[in-house]
Amino acid sequence: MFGLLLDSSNSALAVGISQDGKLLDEIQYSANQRQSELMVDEIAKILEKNNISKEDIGFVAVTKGPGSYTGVRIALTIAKTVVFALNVPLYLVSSLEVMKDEDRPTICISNARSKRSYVGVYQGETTIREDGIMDNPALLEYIAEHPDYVLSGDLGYLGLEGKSIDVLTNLSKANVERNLAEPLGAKPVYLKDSSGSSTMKIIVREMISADMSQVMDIEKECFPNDSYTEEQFHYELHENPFGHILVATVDSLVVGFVDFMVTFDSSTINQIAVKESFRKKGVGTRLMGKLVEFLKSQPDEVSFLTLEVRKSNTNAQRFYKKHAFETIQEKKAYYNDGEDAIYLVRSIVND
Amino acid sequence: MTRILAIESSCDETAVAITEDGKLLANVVATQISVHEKYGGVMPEIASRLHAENITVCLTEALRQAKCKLEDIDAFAVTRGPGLIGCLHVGLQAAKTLAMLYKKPLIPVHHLAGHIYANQYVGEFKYPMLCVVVSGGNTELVIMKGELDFEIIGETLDDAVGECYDKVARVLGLPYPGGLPIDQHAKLGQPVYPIHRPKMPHDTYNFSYSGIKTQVINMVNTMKMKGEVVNIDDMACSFQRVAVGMITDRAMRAAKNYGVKQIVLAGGVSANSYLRDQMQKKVKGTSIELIIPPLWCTTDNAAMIAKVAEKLYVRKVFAPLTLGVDPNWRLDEWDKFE
Repeated sequence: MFGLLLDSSNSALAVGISQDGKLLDEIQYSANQRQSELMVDEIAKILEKNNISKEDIGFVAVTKGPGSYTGVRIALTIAKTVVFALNVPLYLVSSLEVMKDEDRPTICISNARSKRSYVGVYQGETTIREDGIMDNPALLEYIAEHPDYVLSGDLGYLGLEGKSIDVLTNLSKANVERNLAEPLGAKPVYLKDSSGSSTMKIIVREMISADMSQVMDIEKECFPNDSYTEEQFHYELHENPFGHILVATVDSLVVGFVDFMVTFDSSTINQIAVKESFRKKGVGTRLMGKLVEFLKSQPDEVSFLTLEVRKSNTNAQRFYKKHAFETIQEKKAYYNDGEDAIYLVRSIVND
Repeated sequence: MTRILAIESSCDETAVAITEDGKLLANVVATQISVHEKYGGVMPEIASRLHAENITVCLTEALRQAKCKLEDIDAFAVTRGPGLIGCLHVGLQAAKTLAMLYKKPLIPVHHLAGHIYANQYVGEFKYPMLCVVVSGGNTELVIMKGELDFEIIGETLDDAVGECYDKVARVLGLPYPGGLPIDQHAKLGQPVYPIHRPKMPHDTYNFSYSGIKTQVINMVNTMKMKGEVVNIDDMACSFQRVAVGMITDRAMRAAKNYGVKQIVLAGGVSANSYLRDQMQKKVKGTSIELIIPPLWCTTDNAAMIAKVAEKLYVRKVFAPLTLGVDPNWRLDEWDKFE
């Protein structure tokens, strides 16, 4: 009997065959989000090459996350389908645990983006630290406190070198009781975003005149070429009956703001900006959250929130997509410099 | 004897169907509507997660309903697009895995071809034929001169009609999805509010729905500001007359100009009773035959995917195991997938 081993939880595509706890053959390469196309075909190839028919497959072992959401789903969906078809056991292993060293304590790390990492610490069968999300600075501190631990993972993004450990070798030993899964209901571990629990206290409130100089600093930093003047902000703040500005503060320092209009059932974001040194810490998310809350509390129901974003500003577009905005159209040469704008809309569900 | 197992996961329904020489042996649909209701629309990441959880449950149930084993299946079909990319991936992996294990053909199916061919569960196609494809994501007029021969003659320039229904429903305080509640309220009202059709060339087959949506929103807001009461029934009726009128007029004009023998309705909005009534009235006294899909076929399902897959099986339209999804696949490119 053979084991079929699968992992696509990050950029790699890994398919292996095991026998008696030993890795017999493997296909492993960087697939750059093409696992959906390639993985099943690689399984077909490795089975054929080793002359293994489906009746010879005794179990499937697969990584369950954390990692790329789509990536984890691909290997897991394949694994679930195989065990459903062949009626063999399914073993699920943490995508971090499969990166552990044979016997030494290992800090297993993968990039969770937004300056954060997925981290789990393992030694043999013992879990020293449960899988979780850590801010990168906190992780670096943890690493410094444990100089005797092995580092595992592709750690170039942290400026570190991790030991490269063969995921498939670990997966080939995964067919043990504690990894056994109920195959029909098996689902990935996504490790929900935990940025809200960060220690930095962000307060969002309406802007007051005293915030003006700090807001102008952020404005100039974020929009150097087409920044609003202080007069324009003054108008938005005191005169425009439809205009509103919310500011985000940390330790009473203004670190970001959102300037928007509410016109009957719809609202438009004119600008949203976060101070460079406070980016990717959930400030934008808090501003957006408070904005939506504000819109929901209007006496006349607000149903839509719209905005334009520069076509080249893909970071911002990712942020908006995360906040349920959808692309409605492209506006040609919308900006003064001739750049196109992407017009985005999200609905406000008033309950 | 040919048995086909088809999988559909392009949006918010995980579905598996099994057919045997055209006869439906199993038709399983796990809907996610109750989950997406609270967001007022489909959330793609949540939909993808639910597909991954539900897929083998649906496969198990389909085999049980059909009383057959995977060994008895001759080909595995799957919706390759259009749809939500993360959702399409899940169905694709399942179908490819089964095709690989059982060494059977993998058949890539276009979702809208599925909606059109759903009508073959109630009638035979007679060409040339006009397909009126109306749903939450699509509004298209398609001429078919033969089997799988699709020519798109008109499509929406902005919102899809179903999307427009959802948004108008939200403005009127009606639940999601908006099609059924608007339809129900419209039956009780009169078309007293002046909603106008967008100005478009008189000979176009294209559609535009964003203007109609804006008119309703503006009218409702103006009335609220003046303290007037909006009659939901009348507003639903006024809106529906225009929204559906645009479809029936263009459809009948296209039917005459292309000399079609048949018109078929397809997609979620084809469940709309006013559209069904109006189309029936319009074809009455003409030589054109109208096919209306059964209600179970107006929502996403895999039976319709299996129906198209039967045709593709005969033509040997099979995909390699390296098949990928295409969230923007065009109907007239249904045979291009590599």
